[in-house]
Amino acid sequence: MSILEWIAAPWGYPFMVRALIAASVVGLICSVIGSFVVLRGMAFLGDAIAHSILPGVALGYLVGARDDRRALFWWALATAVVVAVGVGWVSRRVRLREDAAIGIVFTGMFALGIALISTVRGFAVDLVHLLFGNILAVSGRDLVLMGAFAGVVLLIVFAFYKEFLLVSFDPVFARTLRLPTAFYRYTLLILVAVTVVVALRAVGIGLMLAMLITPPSAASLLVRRLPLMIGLSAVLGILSGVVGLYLSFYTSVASGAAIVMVAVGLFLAVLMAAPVRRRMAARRHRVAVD
Amino acid sequence: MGKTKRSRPVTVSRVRGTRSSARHDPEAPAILASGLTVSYNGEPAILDVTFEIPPAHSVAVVGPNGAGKSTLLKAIAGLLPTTGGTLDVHGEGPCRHICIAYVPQRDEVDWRFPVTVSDVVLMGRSGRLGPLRRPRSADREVVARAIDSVGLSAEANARIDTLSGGQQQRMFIARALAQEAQLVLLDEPFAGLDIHSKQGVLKLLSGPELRALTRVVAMHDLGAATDHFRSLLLLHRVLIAFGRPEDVLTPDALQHAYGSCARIAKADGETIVISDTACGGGHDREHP
Repeated sequence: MSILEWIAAPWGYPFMVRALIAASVVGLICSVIGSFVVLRGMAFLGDAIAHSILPGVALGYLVGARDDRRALFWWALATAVVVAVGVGWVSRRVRLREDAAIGIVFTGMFALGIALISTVRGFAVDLVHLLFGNILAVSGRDLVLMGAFAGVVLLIVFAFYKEFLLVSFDPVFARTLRLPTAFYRYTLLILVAVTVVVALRAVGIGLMLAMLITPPSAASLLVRRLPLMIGLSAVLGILSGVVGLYLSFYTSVASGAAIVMVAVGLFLAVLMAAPVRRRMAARRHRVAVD
Repeated sequence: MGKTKRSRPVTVSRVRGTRSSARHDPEAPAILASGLTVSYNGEPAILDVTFEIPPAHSVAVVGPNGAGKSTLLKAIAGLLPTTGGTLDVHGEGPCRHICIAYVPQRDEVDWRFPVTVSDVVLMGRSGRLGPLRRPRSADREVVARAIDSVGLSAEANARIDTLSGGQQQRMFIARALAQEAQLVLLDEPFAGLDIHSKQGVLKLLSGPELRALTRVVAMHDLGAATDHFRSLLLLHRVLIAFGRPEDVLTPDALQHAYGSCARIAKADGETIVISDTACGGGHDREHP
C-alpha cells in the first residue's frame, strides 16, 4: 500500500469522513477555549464541568431520550451550563478551599450520574461511550449541531477577546476599569461548558481535560503571544484529532484514547524541542545586541 | 523624551461606550478620606483615617508591615469596600471612577502570561474603548507614546517575563498613562529592585510625564520617600502623621509607628532613621 493509499483509505468510509470532520472541530474549539483554561488555571474547573454533566445526560436517558442522540445533546448542554454557573459560584462563595469544594461537587454529581444510568439495563456500553467518546458513530445531524455551537463559541471569543485577555491576565486591573469582571468570568465558564458538550462525542467525559489543556500547554512553550498561542494550539488540536483517528483506524485502538495519546505525544515532542528553540532565540538575541 | 505633553481631559472624564462613569471634579481633592475604616475579615485593617490629598501631589505611604498600606491603596482604587467613614476621589466615591490606575505588588502578577509590553499597556485603553471595540490607530499611538515616555521602546515587543523588576514597574506606569489616569496608586513598587532601577523609577515618578498626576506610593524606604515625595503618610492601622516629610518623621511619630523596629538617631539636629527593618509582625500582604 502506498502512502497515498494509506492516507486516502479512511476517506472511503462515510463514518470516517464524519469522524475526521468532528475530530477537527473538537480539536479546534477545545484548543481555543483551552488556551484560556490553561492561562486562568481553570484546568480542575474544566474537568469538574465535564464530569458534572453526567447526571443530566443520565436523566435525559431515563425520560426516554435514549435513542435520540440529539435530545441527549440538549440535555448535556443544559446541564453543562447550569453546572458551569454553579461550579463558578461554589468556587467563590463556599468557605472551603476552592479545589476541595469543586471536588466534592463534581464527584458527587458524577456518582449521581452513574447511579442513574445504572438503573437502566445494559447501561455499560452507553456509559463507556459517554466516558470515553464514540466519535465513529457521529451522524450528519450531530455534525451540524457540533459545528453550529463551535461556531458560536468561536464568535463569542472573537468578540470579547480583549476583555477575556484582560480579566484573565489582570482581573484586579479590570475591576479598576469598572468592567463587569463577574460577567466575563461566567461567560468563559459557560463557553467551557458548551465546548465540553461539543467534544463529548469525540473524547468523552474522562478524556475531556486532555483536549482542553494539552494542545494549549504545548503551544505556550513555543510562542510568546496569546493570539499565536491560540492559533498554534488550534493547529496542534486539529492535528491530534486527525492523526489520532488514523491511528485508531489502522490499529483498532479506541478513537478517544488514540486522539489524546497523539495530543500528549505532540506535547512531549514540543517539550523536548522547546529548550533548543529557546537557546537559538537567545543566541539570535545576543548576536543582535552585539 | 521631550514630547509634547499629552492632552488630558480637563473637565469630566469621558468614556466611549455605554457604561456610566463617575462624576469627576478636577478641582476637588484627588483623595478625601474622613474617618475612613476598612475591615478585613471583621478586623479593621485601617481605622478612622482622615486626610486630604490635592490633585497632582505625590504622597508616600509609609509604615511597618501590616500597617494597612495595601488596604488603603485598594480602598482608594475601589477594590475594597469601606466599612466606616467616607472616601472620595475627585468628589465622588471611588467605585465608578476609571481614572484610577492601581499597580499591584509584583508577586500578584502572573509574569508567565503570554503577553508583550505593548499588549499590557494596550489594556489601559480597554476602559475607554468599551466592549466589542478593537483598538484603533489612535489607541496604538497613545500606547507607543506611553511606552516611549517610560523609556521602554526597545522592550515594546518583549514578553513580560523577560523584563527586569524596574522595567516591570515602568510598564505598569506606561499602562497608567495609556489609561489617561489622573490618580496612580503603586503598591511597593521598589520591593526587590536594585538601587539603580529604583532610582530610575523614582525619577520617572517625579518627572514631567507624571507630574500632572496624583501619585500615591506605598513603600518602605523612608529616605527615598523624604527625597522624592511632597508628602508622607505614616500609617499604622491609624494615621500617625501626614504632611511634609520633615514634619512627619519626628522621633515620636516613628517610635509610635515602628516601635523598636526603627533605629532612630539624631545628628546635628536632624533625625536620621537608620532603617525600617520591616518587621512589625511578619507579612504586609493583606491577601494570602
